[in-house]
Amino acid sequence: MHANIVEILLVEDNTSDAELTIRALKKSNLANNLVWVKDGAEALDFLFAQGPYSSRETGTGPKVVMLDLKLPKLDGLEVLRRMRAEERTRVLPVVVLTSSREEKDIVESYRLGVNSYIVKPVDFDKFVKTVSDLGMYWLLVNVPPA
Amino acid sequence: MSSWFSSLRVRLMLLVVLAALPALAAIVYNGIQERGLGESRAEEQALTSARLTSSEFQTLVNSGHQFLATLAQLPEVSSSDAQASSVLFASFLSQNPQYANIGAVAPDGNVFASAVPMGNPFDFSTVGWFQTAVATREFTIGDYMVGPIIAPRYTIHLAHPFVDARGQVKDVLFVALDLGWLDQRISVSGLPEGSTLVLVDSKGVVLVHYPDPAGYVGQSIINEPLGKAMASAREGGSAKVAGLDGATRLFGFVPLTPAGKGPYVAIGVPESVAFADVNSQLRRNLLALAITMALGALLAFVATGALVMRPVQRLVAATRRLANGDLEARSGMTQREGELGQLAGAFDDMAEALKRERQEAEHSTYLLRESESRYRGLYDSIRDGILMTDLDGRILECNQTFLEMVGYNRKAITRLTNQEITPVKWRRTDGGMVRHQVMVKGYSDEYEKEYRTKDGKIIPTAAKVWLVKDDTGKPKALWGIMRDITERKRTQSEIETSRRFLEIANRHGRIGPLLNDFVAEIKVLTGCSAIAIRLLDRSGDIPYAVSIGFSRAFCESESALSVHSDRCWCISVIAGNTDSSMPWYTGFGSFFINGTTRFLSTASPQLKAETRNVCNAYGFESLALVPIRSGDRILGLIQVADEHDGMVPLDMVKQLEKISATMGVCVQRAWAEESLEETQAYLNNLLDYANAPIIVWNASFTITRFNHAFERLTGMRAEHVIGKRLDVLFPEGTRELSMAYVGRTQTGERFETVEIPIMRTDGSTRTVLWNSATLFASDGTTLVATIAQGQDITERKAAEEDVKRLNAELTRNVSYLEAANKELEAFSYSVSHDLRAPLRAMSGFSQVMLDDYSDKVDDEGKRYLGIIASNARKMGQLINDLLAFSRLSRASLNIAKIDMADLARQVFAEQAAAVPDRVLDFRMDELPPAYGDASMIRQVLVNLFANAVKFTRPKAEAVIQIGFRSEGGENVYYVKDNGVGFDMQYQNKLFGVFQRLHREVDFEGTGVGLAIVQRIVLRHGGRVWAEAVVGDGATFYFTLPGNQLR
Repeated sequence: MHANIVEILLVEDNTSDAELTIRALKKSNLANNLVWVKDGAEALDFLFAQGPYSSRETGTGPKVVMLDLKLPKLDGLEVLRRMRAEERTRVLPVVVLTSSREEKDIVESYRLGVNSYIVKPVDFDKFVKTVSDLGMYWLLVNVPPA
Repeated sequence: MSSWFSSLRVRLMLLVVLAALPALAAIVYNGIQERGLGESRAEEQALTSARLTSSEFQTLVNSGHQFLATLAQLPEVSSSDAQASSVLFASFLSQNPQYANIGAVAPDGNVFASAVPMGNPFDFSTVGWFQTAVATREFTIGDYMVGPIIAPRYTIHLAHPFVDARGQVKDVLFVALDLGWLDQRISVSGLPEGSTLVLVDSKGVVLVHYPDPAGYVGQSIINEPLGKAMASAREGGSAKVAGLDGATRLFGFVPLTPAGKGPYVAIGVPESVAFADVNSQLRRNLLALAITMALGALLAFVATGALVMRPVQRLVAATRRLANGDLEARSGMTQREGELGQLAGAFDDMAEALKRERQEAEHSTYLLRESESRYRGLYDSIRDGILMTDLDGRILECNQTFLEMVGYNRKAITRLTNQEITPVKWRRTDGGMVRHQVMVKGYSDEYEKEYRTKDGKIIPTAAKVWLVKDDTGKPKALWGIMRDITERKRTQSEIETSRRFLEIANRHGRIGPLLNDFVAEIKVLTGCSAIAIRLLDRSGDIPYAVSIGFSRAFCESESALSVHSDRCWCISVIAGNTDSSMPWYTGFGSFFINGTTRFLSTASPQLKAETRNVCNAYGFESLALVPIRSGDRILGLIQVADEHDGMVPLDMVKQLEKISATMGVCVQRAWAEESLEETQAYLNNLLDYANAPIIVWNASFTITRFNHAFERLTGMRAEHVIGKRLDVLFPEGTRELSMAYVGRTQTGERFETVEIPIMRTDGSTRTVLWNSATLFASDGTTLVATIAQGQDITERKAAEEDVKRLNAELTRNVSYLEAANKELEAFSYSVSHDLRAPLRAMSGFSQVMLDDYSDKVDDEGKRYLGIIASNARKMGQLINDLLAFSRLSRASLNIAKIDMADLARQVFAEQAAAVPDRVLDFRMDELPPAYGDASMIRQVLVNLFANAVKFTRPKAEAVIQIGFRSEGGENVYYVKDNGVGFDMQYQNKLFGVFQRLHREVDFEGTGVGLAIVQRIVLRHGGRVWAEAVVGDGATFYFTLPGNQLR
């Protein structure tokens, strides 16, 4: 794999959750090309190669965005809305990975064009399994548009 | 102007003379014209004569020319034979006396032949005519010449050059024209006396002069006026110049030859000759004129006498007669044309007009006398008294009426003053009127005053006074017109009486006092001693309603009378049974008699039987009975009686009859009012004692009725309120509004249910519901009163207010709740996110410890990590349940019909499947359908069944039953088990969130399940309760609506 290819963009402000997510992905050997950003604004900077990421080449992924909803600055739904409004990221797979089971979050996410809505289990085993399944599916099983 | 000139005749004659003046002027003018004409005629004559003479002279010259021409042809001459020629010439000369000589001249000037023998040869080479003739080779006329051959005869020569074939002048033949012969031959015949004829040659030398040729021939006249005139008119003409003898003549000149180089003829006619005819004409004309004028003047003198003087004198005479008063004087002239005719006509007209005027004046005087006597009659017979006084009131004259008014004769009155016949109290009035009105504006307004008659009677009059002024405008006297107003006064007093009676009649009182007043008035009016009013009652009796002056005994005897049974005058009157042909009955149906004793003494026995004669028996001599009528109905009668005779004359009765009509109306009305009062009293009671508060107010909002119920409502007393304005009822704050509202009833609007607050005397306010009705007068538009009924709804109103208040509170609380819910929602959201994350970290990292560091942690450590993980899990479960619970209160209900039996069966099957190792006895009663949110009701059953399964765990055979009963109209469902049950003393904690009655180690759980059940059931409008016995099962009840109505 090319070092510059980013496969997963993880947007998560909670470092514990981020660490556990990355650990779970590592176990499945999926975390090699993962970039972890800690708020919505940084996520957009990365995706649109702007601000601190202005030198990034935009043709280099990611293949999937794992997006928490409750984020500082821009929340997840807003990030999702901006991505879907932008041509470059309109079809980029986004998986919401959140603690919220709130119906309105789920409905709103799907309305904005999310590809998957995953509630993080409290139970660690379940959490690890869920995340690794997620990684496997999007990186290895799913076929993105050319 | 002298007197002769003023005579018409002289003037007319002068006029005639003056009229002739234009003729004189014309004659003179004509004379002047004629003179001019005469002059030019004389000039013309002179010119004509001159031409005539000239032509004669011309003829003479021409014949000379021909003679010479002929001579030249003769052989003696053409051969220039001097001898023969001279002989020939001499023979011709003797035949032609006009010629002085005939000769021939050689071209060198030597005369070679001559009729007159020449002593010496003559050389003519220097003579003008010879030179000219040689030079021009033409016939030439010479100038004046004396001789030479024939001297001293003076001649002019005619020369004819004889030209030979070669054109050379061979010789010049000549004749000398003898001017002396010419002089004698020159004729001035046909010319006036004193005329002159002058012939001059081209050099101005006189050749011929007539008369007296000797004095002038041969003289040059170039410097004479005539010569100059001729020189300036070479072609000929005329001029008035002095002749050679110095006398002025009118000359005509004509040249003898056309070129004007030859001699001239001038003929002068004397001026006097020219004017002689004219002047004699003038003289003749003037003479004729003078004669005409003299004749005219004479004619004027005569005609004036006949045509002017005579008519004028007749007019003068007629005028004198007229002046002397003879109005019959006329001009006597019938001719009306011309000024004199007109004058005569005008005079006659004037005389006629004067005559007519005189007649009219006489007629006017006659009429005036006539009219005066008529006015005197009017003056005396007019209804008004007329009085004239001087300024001090002394009576100057008065008319007959005034005399009759005051009862004095004409002689006596003129010795009196106005003051003396005026009662003292009116003198001041008179004085005031004269001072303040008559003297100020010339007359007074009409005013009332009285006069005292000779026999002391007082006469009321309406007086009006005028001021009379003399020619200088100074006040002189006073005219007064006085009208006797005794009758008017009487009428006034009658009117006054009627007025008083009407006033009484209009008083609207009880009938008794009214009749009392009437009686008193009648007593004043009639002056009679006894007056009574008797009214017919229903039974036909006529009791005395009121009486004065009748004795008790009299009244008692009379009162008993009845129309049905008795006969008397009064019965007849009241029954309307009166015969107006009888003298004691009036047409109105009254009875009157003056002198009952006298009457009875003369009455027939039959008539006496008609009456009871009670009045006479009680000493009443005068008696009048006047029926009181109301329309056709007789209500009673007025009885007037007096002890004296003659107290009720007919006119008094008539007056009483008028009054009776008033009384009739009054009595009728009083009766009606009394009956009305009874009705009113009944209605009043009805109104006053009605249970509902009733109030009446009039068009000006004055309270007119206020019933007892209203008194109770307001605490006010009717007597304090009636007569006050309606607004006393209303509390201050709403008074204006209420009055405005009430004001709408004035237009006829009715209140159906209007709330208007009322103020009680204790200061409290009652809310009253009103309904009203408006009463209009019979015209249908005039508002009379408004009647309103109130209903005290204060309590009801208060209750309504409470409801409103509670509703408002509820609404407020709901909004609080909504706010709280919002907060809770936000809270739940945070919880779901933020609370779970640390738990995940705890369970996650404790698992990481076990995975990565199991070799470094002993078993006890591993157990602790397991405890951390399981607690984190538990807490996750708690949070999930809590979120589910909180979501319940927010989720909206989808109410639908639910098949409860079917639902219960499904849910139980699911629960049972979760514990396949358990033996469960599920029993289900017949369950009616319920209405609710299916998913929520399912949750209820899930939780209840789950609990039942859980708490029957210790039982070998679990019995779980779901049942139904209808209780007090509620659909009650229950789930019963035979589990461990619980202690009823903690049942209050049963449905609290996180409340548990069992230990975790015995029965796991979060303590949220029953709270959820309760929440759902409550949201469906039902209730939940439980019954249990420790160790012997529990039953959970819940109610749900059986139909869709909420």
